[in-house]
Amino acid sequence: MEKIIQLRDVSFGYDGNRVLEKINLDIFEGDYLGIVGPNGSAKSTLLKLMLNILSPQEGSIRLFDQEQHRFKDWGKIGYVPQKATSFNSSFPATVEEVVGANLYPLIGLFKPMGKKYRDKIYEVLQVVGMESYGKRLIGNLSGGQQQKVFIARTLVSSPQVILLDEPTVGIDLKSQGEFYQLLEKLNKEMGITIVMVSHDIGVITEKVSRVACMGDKRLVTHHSCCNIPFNEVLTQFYGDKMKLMVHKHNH
Amino acid sequence: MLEILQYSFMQRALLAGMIIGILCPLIGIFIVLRRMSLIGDSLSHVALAGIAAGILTGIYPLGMALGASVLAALAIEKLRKTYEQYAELAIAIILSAGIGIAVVLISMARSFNVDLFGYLFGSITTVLPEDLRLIAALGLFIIGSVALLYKELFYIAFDEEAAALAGIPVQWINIFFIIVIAATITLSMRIVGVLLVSSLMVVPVATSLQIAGSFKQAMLFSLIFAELAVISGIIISFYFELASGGTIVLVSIFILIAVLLGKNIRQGIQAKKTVSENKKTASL
Repeated sequence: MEKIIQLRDVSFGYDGNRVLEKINLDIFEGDYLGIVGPNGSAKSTLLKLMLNILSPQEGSIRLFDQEQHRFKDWGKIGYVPQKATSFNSSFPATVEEVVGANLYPLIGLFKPMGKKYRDKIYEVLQVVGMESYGKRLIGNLSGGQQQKVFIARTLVSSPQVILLDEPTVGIDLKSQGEFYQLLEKLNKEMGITIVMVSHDIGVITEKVSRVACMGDKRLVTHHSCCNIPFNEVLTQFYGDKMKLMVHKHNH
Repeated sequence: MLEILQYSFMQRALLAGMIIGILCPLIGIFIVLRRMSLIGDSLSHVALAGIAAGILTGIYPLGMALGASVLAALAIEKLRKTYEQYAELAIAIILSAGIGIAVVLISMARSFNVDLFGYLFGSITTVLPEDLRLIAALGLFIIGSVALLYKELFYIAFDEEAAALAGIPVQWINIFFIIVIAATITLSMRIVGVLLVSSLMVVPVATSLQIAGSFKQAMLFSLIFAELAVISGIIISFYFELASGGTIVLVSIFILIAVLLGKNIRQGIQAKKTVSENKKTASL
């Protein structure tokens, strides 16, 4: 299997404080990787390093078998940020306009958007089940619907991997369920590699096929989530007082 | 109406006004949505310093203003990175510097107060032929280039980080855009005046945001509201001998109030309809 993202001995810190120490991580084609860890364990920082928003202070990152600084084909990598952080909900833009924005680099500077691209927008809106919302203002949708639109926005440039940063924060439980189903569909049916950061270890381990645990500046990966020694891992990363409680409802 | 067009200074004022009525909201919509509304005020005060320097040294004042505000715009972009968490601080620093220099220069030469009055509050009688040439040439260039970069400016305004990740040359477009803001302010000064330039960039956009159903509509409505304000403002200021800048801005505020009232009345009617419909369904 092709390695899509490869981190070798990556270290990073803010103002001299190391938050990541010699991180090694391989993400393969078709992976559905969950990155979990307590708040402040530099999970988002790790994503930003992969996306070249931040640069590693030591170590190297390879994307699609190329050195990161040489990598140009950013359309292959989709990114869904934490909803609350990078979005002005009173922005007067329709769903169609928001999704279409990711096509701009493909269309090129100084050129208008043609019918071919408009069709593409509705194609991906259909994938996320939002095709009837094209003309609605993004600010008038619910959190769950907005997040689906942002997934559509990354899908429109046909990415091979999508990185998501705490995508379900502030979204109600029912919509979260739909959202995870959608991610599974993208991964299983469309073959898109998915990397999701979350602090919600209980939910994420049920959904993903591989888990990476972060904490104390380090990262440990587990190849299958069924055999993770949960309580051991939790004590290691979250502290002594943390134990995983699993309970099931009989409906 | 025809009487207005007999005077060549009015023809120039109206032509310049119409170009500015497109320029200001075209740039303004991106400024407002990027939450940089005060940048207009900041750069116009630097432009005033340029005007003062121009009058003092005898060099074409609008040219000096253009140079000063472009330099200030670049400084803001640089400071915005230095104070990343306090982007508005960059705008405040340049505003202070601009007004400081302007006041010192004005106090150095006490004789040009009448001329300066026109620049401060806008004056339709003082649009010179060379001003109109500058406004037309640079104005059309800006309108053309913003139209061509429309998609990219939209994406950066909506989500700068995502735009950069998608491969849009955000840094270059930001620098280009801030220079365009500076140029727009300088060009608009003759008509609306230093103190009110920023209002013409912001108020029509604020009005259109109340009713726009998409970004395209927001753009279109703010252009319509700004043109309406500029043309009727110039005509009113001609007949009543008022300062054009103030009149134009007051007309645009009047349009804002009318739109807000209209929207409230419509919502009130709709709410009543829903209540009576609910009552009907309940009684059935």
